[in-house]
Amino acid sequence: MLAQGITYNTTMGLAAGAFMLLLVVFARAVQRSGRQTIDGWAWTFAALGLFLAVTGTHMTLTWPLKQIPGAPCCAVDNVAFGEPAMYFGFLIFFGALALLRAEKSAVHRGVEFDLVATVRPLLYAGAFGGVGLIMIGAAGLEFGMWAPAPPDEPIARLMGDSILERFFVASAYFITGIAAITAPFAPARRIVGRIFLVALFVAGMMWTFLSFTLFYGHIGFFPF
Amino acid sequence: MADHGAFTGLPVELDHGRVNRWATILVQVVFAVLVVGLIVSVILWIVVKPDVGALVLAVVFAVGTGLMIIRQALLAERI
Repeated sequence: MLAQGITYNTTMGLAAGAFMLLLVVFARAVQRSGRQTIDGWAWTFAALGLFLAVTGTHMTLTWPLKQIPGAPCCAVDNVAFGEPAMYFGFLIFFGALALLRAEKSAVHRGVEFDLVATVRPLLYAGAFGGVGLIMIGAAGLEFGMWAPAPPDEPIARLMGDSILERFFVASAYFITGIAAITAPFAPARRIVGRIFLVALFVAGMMWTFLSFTLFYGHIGFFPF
Repeated sequence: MADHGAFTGLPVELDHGRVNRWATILVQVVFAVLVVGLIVSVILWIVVKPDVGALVLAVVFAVGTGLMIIRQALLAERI
């Protein structure tokens, strides 16, 4: 058991947010006619996915996490943060490898690269994870994982007993779940594609913002 | 992608002139947000509380990030 709660979920949130926001750009760039190779995108996603997979696996297997007195977190963070990071991290990493291999194969055979056929099986697996994210959000609301805000954590303590932080984090899980569930069906219907894109962008922004605040907050949580 | 619809549900090919115009506007907005946000953040950091200044700083960076993502998505890595 660690002496303190795991606090590296700052960069986990940043990697998750960066992946979702960059996926918005990639989804448009890859469909443009006359585009360049997607090698750079694939290696970027591989790096982000690998980071999430490694840290998520470490967090998942470090059990139970130590409960920090006064904070509503920690003991179940391996489920709420570690497991989704591990699951989606591996999917992203292997999805990136699949992109690299599929484009190379398409060029070699002189046929058009089929993005949908390449990533759809991984997106189906991601949709299962999306349902899991929604259940984590529901659990957080019901069992109070994210409220009240830890009194010693900078920024979070500004919320006091407000329900704002609880709903913000739960919403990040819900919206990420919607993006993951709609992803495999995005190419089939225009409206689903738009829901996927908006959910992906909003969730990416929420995780990115949250991680920005946590870099300050988690360092200030353990004053020297 | 020939047998499938667009992943984003949005048109892939947009008018170049319009995209370039919006790309320029978005960069200007990001600069404005950064400058104003940093000033407000420093003022709040000193006058109110460092935590409030840091929160505003995070908001400013997040807004800037979001706007740049929209810009790059509009451009679709054209330049």
